[in-house]
Amino acid sequence: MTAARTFLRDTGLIFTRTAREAKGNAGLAFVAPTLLSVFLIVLFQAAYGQIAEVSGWPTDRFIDWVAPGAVLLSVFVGAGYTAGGLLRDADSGYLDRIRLLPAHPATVLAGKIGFEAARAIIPATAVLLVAITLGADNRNGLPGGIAVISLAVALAIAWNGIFYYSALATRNHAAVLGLQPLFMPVVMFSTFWVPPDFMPGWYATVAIWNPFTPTLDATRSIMLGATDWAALGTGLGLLAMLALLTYGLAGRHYAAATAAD
Amino acid sequence: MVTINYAVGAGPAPGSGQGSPAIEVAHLTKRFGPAVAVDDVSFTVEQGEIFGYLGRNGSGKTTTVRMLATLTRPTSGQARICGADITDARRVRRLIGVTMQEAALDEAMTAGEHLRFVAGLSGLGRAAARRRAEEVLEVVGLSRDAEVRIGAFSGGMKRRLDIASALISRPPVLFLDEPTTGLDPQSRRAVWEEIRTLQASGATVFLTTQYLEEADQLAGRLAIVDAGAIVAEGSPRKLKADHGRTTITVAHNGVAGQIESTLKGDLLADEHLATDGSGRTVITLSSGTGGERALELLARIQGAGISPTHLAVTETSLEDVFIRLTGTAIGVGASGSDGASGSDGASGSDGASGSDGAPDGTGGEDRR
Amino acid sequence: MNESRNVLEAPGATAGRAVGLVFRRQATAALRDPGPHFVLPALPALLMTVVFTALFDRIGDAPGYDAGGLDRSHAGGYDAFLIPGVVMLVALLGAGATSASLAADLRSGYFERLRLLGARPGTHLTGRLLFEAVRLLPGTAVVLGVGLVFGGDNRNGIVGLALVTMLVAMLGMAYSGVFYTVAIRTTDPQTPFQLQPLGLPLAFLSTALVPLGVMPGWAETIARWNPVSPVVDASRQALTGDPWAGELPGAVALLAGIIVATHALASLTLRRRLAGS
Repeated sequence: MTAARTFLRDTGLIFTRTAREAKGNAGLAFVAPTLLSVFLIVLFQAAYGQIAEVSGWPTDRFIDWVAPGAVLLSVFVGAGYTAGGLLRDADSGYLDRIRLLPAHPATVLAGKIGFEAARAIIPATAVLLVAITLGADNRNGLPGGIAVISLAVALAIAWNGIFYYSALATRNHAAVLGLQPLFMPVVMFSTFWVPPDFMPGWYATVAIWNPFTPTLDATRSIMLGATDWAALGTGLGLLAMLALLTYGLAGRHYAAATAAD
Repeated sequence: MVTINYAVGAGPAPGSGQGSPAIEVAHLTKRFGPAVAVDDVSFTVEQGEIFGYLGRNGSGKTTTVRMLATLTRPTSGQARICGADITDARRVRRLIGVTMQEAALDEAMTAGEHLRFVAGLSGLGRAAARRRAEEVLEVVGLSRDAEVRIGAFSGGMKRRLDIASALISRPPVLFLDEPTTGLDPQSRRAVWEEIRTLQASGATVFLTTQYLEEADQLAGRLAIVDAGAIVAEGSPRKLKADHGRTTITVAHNGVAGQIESTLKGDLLADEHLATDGSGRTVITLSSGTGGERALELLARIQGAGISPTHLAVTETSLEDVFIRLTGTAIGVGASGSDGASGSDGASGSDGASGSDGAPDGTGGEDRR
Repeated sequence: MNESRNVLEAPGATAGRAVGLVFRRQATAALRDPGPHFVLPALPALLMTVVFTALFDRIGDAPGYDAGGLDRSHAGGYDAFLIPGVVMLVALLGAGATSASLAADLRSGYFERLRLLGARPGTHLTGRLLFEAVRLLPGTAVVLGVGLVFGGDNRNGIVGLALVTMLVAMLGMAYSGVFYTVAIRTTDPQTPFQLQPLGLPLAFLSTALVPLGVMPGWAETIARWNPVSPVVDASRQALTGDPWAGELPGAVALLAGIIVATHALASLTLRRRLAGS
């Protein structure tokens, strides 16, 4: 086998193992993120849906505005799960065993990240389908839906980089877990809830500068039918930067950790 | 019924060591559905004894301890601890201290906090709890680590702290379920010292183990269990004598068969003589502790002018006894010895000697 | 020698002392690891307070909103309406942290050891429950503080604040019983995280965030039956209305009843589990 095929095959093996682990913990890995996002859509539409009646509101219904955010939210909930698994493997000595195999050391990271990306698809798709069923706009149809899910996957990969970096730099479970609530302010202080016109001055400033906002706006624009290419470009660029930074640093720590002592 | 003062330097409590047995078990059985975990087990443990319960993983040791410690209800049978029936859980719980296979500690607490918590729940007031915690820490040699988080303890320290927790209410009877499993040899010996100290204070110790050396070294009497049932009971010496074989191995440069002809007629019915693969003569005696008889035969050999180039007299080990009684070895690495007691399997019990180590259970006859 | 006699005669610690010991153990562990115990529970509630007071007072501008009984003549409008409700999220999204150690004790051998010591098993629930009430206090204080800064109404001063705090604590105790029951059955130390999403419908489908009249029919029906609603109403009265009006004793009685009920359920589940062996 060529080196590339070997690499792919080994990555696939890591992927499968991580998937098996996640199945055993399906609640945290799949159910909780989906449930939370679906709850939010339903409950927010129920409680605050009327805000769409206020003059100046850009969409027909509140759910049209909130649904894209809810899809992306499912990526945030339960993030860091596989990074925690990497730490568990490091603690238990399993990682050492893999090191001794002829597989390239990067396959472990690649396999886990690949799984993280795949894992994001399930809750994101579920939430998207529920939102559409409840009446959210999806004016770009199937291609639009695929684009939205792809953005969710890109977000998943980039966001989880933070956890991998933390795991490999600190080797501390508590430090990794402690990062999970980070998504809350990131999501809250963005255009998740209302358009910038509806925000008080300071809030709008925070939201506009929030690096999550471009990705969110791009996703929303796709669902509403008028793709905002500027936001899309900015969003993807920011995600790429985050991924390069975090995985770059993480990779260096990983190489140092797995090199022969 | 007295309580034991485990404080360092305190001697055995007055009045202990006499009177009724500490543990009496009659036909205790535990079934989980169709599976029988403990099969009609009966024995008695006197006050002040260290009683060993030796068996493989899965032989019912832990279940037996749990029943005696009132954590599990027996399917049938009775037992009494210091005269109190085990169905009277509240009374029995005041008389016992228990350590299970996994140390039962709160890793987030310091050693002192954990012990004070246990002492408080046992009924001691704040000052008394504090004093008692310090006391038991001293008994197990952890006084220095009172303010250290248990999460930072080594395995051996956790076990000792576990034992200390069991001593809080000064119980006369201690149940220790595999107290040294997983410990390195040094920690193991430290725990053995603890246990001997506890006995010296007057406690009765019921100890389960899968380590033959541990049973051999610590137990005054032991029961060997297999598949939930007791297959033999007695002091280690008696078990070896009854169920083991002593072997004498001799090599010499003289005429082949010389030893055989010398001893012909001297050998008793249960004794056998054979030649092993290296041409050495191997004599198997009927008792596991046949040192005296070995000297007799050696004197005869010497009297015949035979000069040995190789001579070994090996009394049986507990491992041999165990294999004879249960049919298989107790488990990988479970002999627990570092060679000191000579129980390393090459002592001639399987194959090299005349006996066949086959599971005959009665330990009496050889099938040859 | 006196002490040895006492140990045999005393049937374990008295209930009061035992509960106190359990409380102290929880408190020590929480102070050592304040994040998940004090900060994390308050975080969602705090963020939502900020977000909702900042963003959603516009909802008062929606046509038909008046029908919901929102007192728009009052300064602060929606913010005044919101604060006494959103503070309940501290309990609804933050209760139950002590169930993690309960599950861990049961899963490891620790609970078995404690069982043998003579204190009734229920003590371990009661001690934890009392700590839950205390644990939520800092988060409640922060949310109330922030909320008032953002424009809530506090016309009843310290009395109102104290009453609302009491209601949050009682709600936390009532809700924790559910966590204990699940923790005992699953022995999963992740129970607080697994159950956390449940707090969202409890909060949203009540009068906590918006007036009843504004909700769609199905939501309004649920909210009418949701036990959180009377608690929120009492809280609202305490802060902005007449604190001693009928709603307060009613809410307190309701919460007391739920505390007893969920605690009993948890105790029963615990007893069944211990008897099972």
